[in-house]
Amino acid sequence: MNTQEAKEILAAFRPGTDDEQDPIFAEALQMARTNSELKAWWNDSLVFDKRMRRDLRRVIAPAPVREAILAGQFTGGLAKLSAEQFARIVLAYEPVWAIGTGKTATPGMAAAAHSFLRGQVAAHFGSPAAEECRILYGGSVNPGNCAALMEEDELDGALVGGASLDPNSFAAIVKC
Amino acid sequence: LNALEEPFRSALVLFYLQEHSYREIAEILEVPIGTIMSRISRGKEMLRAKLDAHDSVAAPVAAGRETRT
Repeated sequence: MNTQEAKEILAAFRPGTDDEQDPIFAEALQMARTNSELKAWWNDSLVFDKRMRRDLRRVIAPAPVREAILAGQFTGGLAKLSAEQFARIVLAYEPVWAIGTGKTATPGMAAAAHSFLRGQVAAHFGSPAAEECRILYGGSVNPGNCAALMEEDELDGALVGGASLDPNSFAAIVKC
Repeated sequence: LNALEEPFRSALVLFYLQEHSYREIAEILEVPIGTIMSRISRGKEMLRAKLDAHDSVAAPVAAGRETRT
């Protein structure tokens, strides 16, 4: 393996993930420890990746991008179900950036996503299925934000994560 | 990222925004693993070049504003 090949492999490496056990990276990682040129490039690359991930988290994806992601997830996960199978499904919308982070979608953001998802249900399983389908919102739901979220007609309930571990907190959400 | 051309944009969106592994990206885009590694690597180089060009344009403007105030 030459330096250029090692760079190409290392570019796909994600520190702190399963990649650390993936043998495909082993030789390139070893080279990055011993080859000074590669080591310098690698350190710089890690800083760049960290900066990109940090900066991109601050960018709110435009609606068409969010909808394309939701449509892809819906189609990939649920579109192959029969109508009978889908009738037993409860959908939960949980933005990845809101899981366990303490950050919550605004009621408007959640309602827009739920409305789009309901449209996906209608397109794949018909309007009656869309009307009957329960779509829950998840992602740092807590007693402080639950009431505002549940005021949205599009939100049929909450998928409660960390807040369910405290009985008092969970009880307060149930009462919303 | 939007300024990048396909197929590099898709590879980097899945890598940075969706935080997928190269194997997952290869499955999603239905291309070989080696191709995905190449796209991530080249895509990052292009992205870095665009950001550097942007920074070099933005910096004098910011400096100019600072001088005036």
